Amino acid sequence: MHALGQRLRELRDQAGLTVRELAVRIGKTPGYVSKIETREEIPSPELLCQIAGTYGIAPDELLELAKKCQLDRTERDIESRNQSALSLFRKEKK
Amino acid sequence: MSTEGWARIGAPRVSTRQIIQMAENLIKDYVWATQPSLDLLTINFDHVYENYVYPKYEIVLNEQYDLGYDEMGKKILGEFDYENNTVYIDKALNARNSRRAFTCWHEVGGHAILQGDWLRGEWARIRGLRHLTTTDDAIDGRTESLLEQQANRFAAHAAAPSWFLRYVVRRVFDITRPVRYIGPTRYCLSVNRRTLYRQVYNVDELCRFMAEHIQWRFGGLSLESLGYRIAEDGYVIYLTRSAPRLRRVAPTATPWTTSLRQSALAESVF
Repeated sequence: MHALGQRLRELRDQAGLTVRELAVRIGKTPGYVSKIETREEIPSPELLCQIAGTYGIAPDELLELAKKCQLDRTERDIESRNQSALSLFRKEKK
Repeated sequence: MSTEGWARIGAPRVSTRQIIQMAENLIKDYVWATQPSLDLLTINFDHVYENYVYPKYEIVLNEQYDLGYDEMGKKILGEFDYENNTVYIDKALNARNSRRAFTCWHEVGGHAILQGDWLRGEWARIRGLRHLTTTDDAIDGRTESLLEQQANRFAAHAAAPSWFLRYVVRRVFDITRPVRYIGPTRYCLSVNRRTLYRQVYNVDELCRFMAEHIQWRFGGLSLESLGYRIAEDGYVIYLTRSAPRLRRVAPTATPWTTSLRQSALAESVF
């Protein structure tokens, strides 16, 4: 669970909403809400603004967290690609 | 806390039948909630988790960590933190690992859904037991721990429920009676209206041969697990293991045979 998902779950718990209720309010499926909260899915900025509106908070914090998560993911991707390229290089060298 | 420790505590009082019923109802409710066409239905753990399990039970699934080894030196595959309702799956069990689906069903289905409330109640009674860990031995069919046996049963029937297995087997193999294993030989199966032959050396191989053709319906479940379910539901019969019907037995004297013998004797006399 990434920081954004964790924060969104906290906000949902504070608002006393279930996953299905939130899904109805933002017009998405419960499966998509599950993905955001547990599977590192990063929603679009428009959807984050909509979720923030549902909870009655400013969207800045959520947008900032989404940006951080996106950067982390990109860094991890680059790292894993570097690793696979390196292992391929070593295999070829042998 | 290791599994051995939990084995001394016991398990929730539910019968095998109730466990199977709960597992099958979980999948029926998922099908009802998502309403896919039965022809295209596949029971994929991730899809069931995202669309039904998390929205209903809010069980968090975390697959980011290396869970390490237990005190016996066995690799920990999964862990259930029942206080926070969180399941941890070892990151080595990635999507390409055939054991992931069963381990996820074991943890999320067996420990969290089936035994979660009971474990939380026990935790209130016995302080200090916070995590339930699962190793290779726990997901083995021969485990002695009742908790793990229950979780395995739930996992097997949630991953491949009997009603769906029956539907798929009848549709793919077009069989009206079980396939009989008669020993190592060449077997012939009708698969999607095509006849396929395979040299099979034991009953497990025959089950796996059938499982290969329906595996895609059970998203990521290993051939071994699916083969086991095929055998468990009686689609393959192992005649050489229990063949009392074929064994010749010495005739016993029944009133019917006795009278027959007497009449034959009487005929020969006259």
